[in-house]
Amino acid sequence: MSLQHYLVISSILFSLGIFAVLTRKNAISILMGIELILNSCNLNFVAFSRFVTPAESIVGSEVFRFDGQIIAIFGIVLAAAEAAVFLAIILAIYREFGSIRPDEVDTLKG
Amino acid sequence: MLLSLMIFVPLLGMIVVLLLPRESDELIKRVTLGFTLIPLIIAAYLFINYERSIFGIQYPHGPVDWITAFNIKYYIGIDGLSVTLILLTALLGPICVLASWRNIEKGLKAYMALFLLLETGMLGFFASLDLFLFFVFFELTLLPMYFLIGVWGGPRREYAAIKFFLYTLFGSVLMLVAMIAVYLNSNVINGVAEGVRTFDILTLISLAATPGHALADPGFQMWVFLGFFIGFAVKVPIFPFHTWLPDAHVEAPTAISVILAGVLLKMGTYGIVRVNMAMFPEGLAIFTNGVGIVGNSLALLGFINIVYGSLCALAQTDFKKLVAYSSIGHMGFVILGLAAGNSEGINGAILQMFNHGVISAMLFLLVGVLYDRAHHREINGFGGIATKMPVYTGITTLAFMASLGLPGLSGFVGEALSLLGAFQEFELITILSTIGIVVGAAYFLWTLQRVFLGQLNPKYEDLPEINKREILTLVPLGILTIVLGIWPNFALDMFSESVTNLVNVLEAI
Amino acid sequence: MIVPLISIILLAPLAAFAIFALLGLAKRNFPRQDYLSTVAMLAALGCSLLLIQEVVSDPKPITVEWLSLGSVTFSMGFYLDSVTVIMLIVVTLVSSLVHIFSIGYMHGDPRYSRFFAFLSLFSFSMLFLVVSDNLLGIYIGWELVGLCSYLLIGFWFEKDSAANACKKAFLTTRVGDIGMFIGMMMLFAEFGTLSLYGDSGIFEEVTTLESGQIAWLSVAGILIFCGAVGKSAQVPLHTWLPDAMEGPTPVSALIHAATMVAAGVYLVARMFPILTPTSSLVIAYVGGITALVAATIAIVRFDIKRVLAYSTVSQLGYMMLAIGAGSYVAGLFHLTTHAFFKALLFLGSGSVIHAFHAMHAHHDDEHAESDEHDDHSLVHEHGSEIPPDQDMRNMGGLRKKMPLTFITMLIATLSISGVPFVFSGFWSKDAILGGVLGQAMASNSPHYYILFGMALIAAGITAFYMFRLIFMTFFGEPRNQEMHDMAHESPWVMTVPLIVLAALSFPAVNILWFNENYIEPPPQHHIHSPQRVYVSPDSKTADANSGISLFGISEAEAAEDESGHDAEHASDGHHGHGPAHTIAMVLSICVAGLGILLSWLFYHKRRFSAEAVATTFRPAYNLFWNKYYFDEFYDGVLVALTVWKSRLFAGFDLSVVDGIVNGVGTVTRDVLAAFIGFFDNRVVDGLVNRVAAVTWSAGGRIRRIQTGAIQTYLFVVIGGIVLIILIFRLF
Repeated sequence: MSLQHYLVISSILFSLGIFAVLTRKNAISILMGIELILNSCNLNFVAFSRFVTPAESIVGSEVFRFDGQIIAIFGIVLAAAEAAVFLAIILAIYREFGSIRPDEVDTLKG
Repeated sequence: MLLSLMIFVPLLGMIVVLLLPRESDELIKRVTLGFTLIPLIIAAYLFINYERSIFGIQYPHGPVDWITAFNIKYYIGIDGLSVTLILLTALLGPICVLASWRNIEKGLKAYMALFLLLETGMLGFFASLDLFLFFVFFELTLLPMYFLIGVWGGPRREYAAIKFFLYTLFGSVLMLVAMIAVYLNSNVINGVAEGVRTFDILTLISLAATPGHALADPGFQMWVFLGFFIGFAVKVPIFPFHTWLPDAHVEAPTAISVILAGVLLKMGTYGIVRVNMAMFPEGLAIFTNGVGIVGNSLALLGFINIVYGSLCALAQTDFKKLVAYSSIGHMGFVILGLAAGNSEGINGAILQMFNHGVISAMLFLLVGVLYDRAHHREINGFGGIATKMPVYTGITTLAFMASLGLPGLSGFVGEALSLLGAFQEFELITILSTIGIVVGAAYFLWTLQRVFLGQLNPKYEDLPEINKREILTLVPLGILTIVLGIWPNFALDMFSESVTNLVNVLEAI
Repeated sequence: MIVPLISIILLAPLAAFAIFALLGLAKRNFPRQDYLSTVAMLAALGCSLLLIQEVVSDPKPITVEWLSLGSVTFSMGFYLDSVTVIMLIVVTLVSSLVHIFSIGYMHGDPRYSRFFAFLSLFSFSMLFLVVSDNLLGIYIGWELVGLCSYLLIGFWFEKDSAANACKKAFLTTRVGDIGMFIGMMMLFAEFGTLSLYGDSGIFEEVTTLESGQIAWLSVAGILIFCGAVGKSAQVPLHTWLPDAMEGPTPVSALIHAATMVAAGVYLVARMFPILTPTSSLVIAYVGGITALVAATIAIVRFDIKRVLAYSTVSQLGYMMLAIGAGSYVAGLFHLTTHAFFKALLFLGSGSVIHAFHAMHAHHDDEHAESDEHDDHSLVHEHGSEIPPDQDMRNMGGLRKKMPLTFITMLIATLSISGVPFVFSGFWSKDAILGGVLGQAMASNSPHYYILFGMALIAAGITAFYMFRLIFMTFFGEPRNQEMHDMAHESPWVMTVPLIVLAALSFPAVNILWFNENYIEPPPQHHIHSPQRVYVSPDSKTADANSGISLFGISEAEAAEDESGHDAEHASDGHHGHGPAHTIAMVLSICVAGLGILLSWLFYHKRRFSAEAVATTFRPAYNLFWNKYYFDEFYDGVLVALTVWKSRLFAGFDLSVVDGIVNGVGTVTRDVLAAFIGFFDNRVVDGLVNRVAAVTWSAGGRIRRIQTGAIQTYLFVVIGGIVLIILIFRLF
């Protein structure tokens, strides 16, 4: 499997995520779309880390660096945290407006 | 230092009064009284310790740099003329506080604070030796006066206050222009500008006497003289700039009328002596040389003030307005005396300034006493109150007699000297001016009759007699009136040296 | 000794007043102000008598510097010569007696203490005037007595008539005083001093004048005399004096008969050295006209005090006439005798008035009721109604009820009428008549003959109306029985002064005037004029006065007329003047006798009817009754004009001057400011507003972009990114 495969999957995930964010009428679905986007990014990080980063030689042996993977883990944590905040906001919006449809929540309209 | 202390103690007092709680009326009044007594003590000290036989400035403070860009300095000092008026100002301070003891119903704190600010302005004005400082203090009196009339005055107070303010400001503008002209020319000799410009009055006086100096040019002096003169004429007030006075007096509360008549009018004549006569003798000569209308104009203005003011007073039925118009008449004697330009005339005029300050202060206090009781000032609305208020009547008679120039009281000496001096220069005008003396007697006696004599108006069956506090405000002035009538040298000594010097300058023209 | 004595004379009455004033300020009264004032006055009298011994022949003024202004110095001081001392004695004596009289007369008055305090102040002022050595001092005293006169005339100020009278007195005299002050200014402008005596005094300086300045000096002299015209109630400023009778009668006696009104005469006598022939003639004419006019008015009065007031005016005219005619000593002599007998007449009339008041305390109430509370205008009525207790038509037959008053008043009347030899009034009046005639003969000027004629007629009229007063008051039947029954003789405090004054009406008591060395007239300025030659300072014998001479001591000296003649005119003067006094004496006795006789026929014997005569000479009677319409003229013309003018000026001030000021204000506010305001509103502010409006509307449109739908935003963002990528890709 080459890097291209990962990147293609990642692109599909990203596109699906964008599509969900732009088209879904439910805030939860939008959240799910965002999660997809985040995960596509994580996938990219790991893939690039695996295929692009050159190995450093330490006394003859090949040692891989895990920077991309670590960032991907950060990304997952971030996504979790973000989901928590997002859901809290959704809850608050629901209490306030009785709906979680973003097109109905337009008090910022100019 | 002492002088500066005296000037700024009332300002300090203002700050202290502002820091006091609003409700503690008694405390505010006492503190104000205390802060007006300090300048009085210092002024009395200065008056007593002033070296009478020496001509020149005494107790100077400065010159200290103030606004260096324009060479403006803080420079104060006194000569005999200013110390006399400073004493008058400082004396009227506590008297006015006492006179305001009971009849200021609202905003006492602000009233007292403004009053103290006013006192600083007046004291500073008389002591200034820097033209700019002089002007600043001159304007400084305007602001508190505006509020004191406009807030605590009678029914038409706003009209009166605005009129007073605009009138004075109109004069001030001309004065400011003249002052700037003097400043800009103060370093021009024979058409060449060199050295620094100055606002120092003493320096300017000597420069104006230097041949070839731009300030000594008669044409220049004439215009500058006019600028300053109109500025001061509004304050005096000289016909036709006088109409703010009756309104301001009628509307102002008693104490403010006292200050207005006692001190503020003197600022005008003081300025004429200090600036117009001392600095621009050539300009003065154009208006007093006795040739034609222009050459007699100053004396004519004095004459018009005397006769016009007296006749207007005769027609008044408002007690306070009558006194206000009588002030215009009496200030006419000052102008007439100054126009004479000789020793008797100027001495008489200055004495008249002081005396008028004392006497008109008494008159306004007396009107206030009556007003506080009857709540109106309509002369024809009284009658026969001499039976109810004998002491008050006695003091009023004293003040009236002093004001109408009864010999033995102070009003006479100043008036007589002014006339004696003026007669030597302007015979006809002086003779005609004496009409004012008869009319003066007429309106005072007529008032005396209408208010005090005759049968008691039944409305005033239970009019209370003048009280101790009111007597206390009147007694010092009454004593001064009598003492100066019997022994005028008491005050004349102070400034006769300065006047002799001034006369020498004037006669050299 | 002189200084302490003078100090006591001046300070004692002043102290009496000061105590009253200071206690008054503390709202208290001195318990016995009457005794205090009286004792002060008696002390002054004692000191004055002591001063007789102190006066030296060549008095020097005692001065202190009062005011010094550079080169000019005004001093105050005393000048004591025999005239001063005599005046001091007259003033203190009459004043003391009036004080004593007032203790009875004013008894029970609510303002009893004040009355005495004012009397003290008056006495001080009058004495100050008398002893002053300079014009300024005299002027000060002059005005102060005016003030006291004002205060005392208006003593019963509840009466509107009194309130009017005191104001009128002050203002009328002030008109004269202004003249005097202008005269003083003229003298000061010329000589640089107001001191009269001493080396640089006016009297010394005046001798250095050029002859071209005589006219100037005449004007100055006449102006100074104006002061005397006012104070001594000479025509045309005499109208205040009769009205001044509104004051308590002792005041009338002291101030308006004996002392203050005589101050004018004293002033003119003091200024004698600067009087030129012209000014003397003016003085003489004013005096002569006053004497005649006032006498004619007095004939028709019914108010006992007004008769006496006009009589005073008339007698003061006599004194002026004397001094104007150069009879310096005669004028002053008449001043003295007149002071005594006129004070006596007034006090006597006071005694009569008092007699009509069983309870004197009601005095002011009665008047208060009779007077309307008028409108206090500056123009007012003139005593047309007579208080019942002063109306002679209510009197009559009082001589039995009040014998002492009657006898003393009769003595005074005989004296004023010029009944020969026994009474002092005869001698002084005769001295004047002789002096005027002598002057007429010496100068051969018709003016003085005319004046002599006027004086003579006035003398006759005086005798007539004075006896008319006596007959109407004391003889005949009581006209008002009710009032008559109430009448009673006055208590001793009132009769004793009458008796003392009656004694003073005999010439022997006026001893100083008959000591020819005691008084000599001052020299007049050496100005030669066609009409007249002045007395030179060394012609002492020629200065011997007529009064002295005609007392009969020396006929030879009588021939010497005081109006004088220096060496060159001595001889014809002698012959011309010798008979003057004899003629004058004979004529004056004749006219006096005629006057008394007519009066007796009219008012006692009722041989003729006064009413019938009045009807016959209706125009003349009307003229006299209306006092020559002086008051009407003053009130209707002068006062009305002044008031009108003052209203005009005040109106002018309010409408024109203030109108201009307000107009400028209004124009500035309503026209100029309105225009600028319009410009500011529409143009300057319009521009600003336009910018704001554009911004506003632009904002309104742009805000529509802001849909508030988060997905729209995202869509735009992503679209934007895609666009940017495409742009970067393609270019």
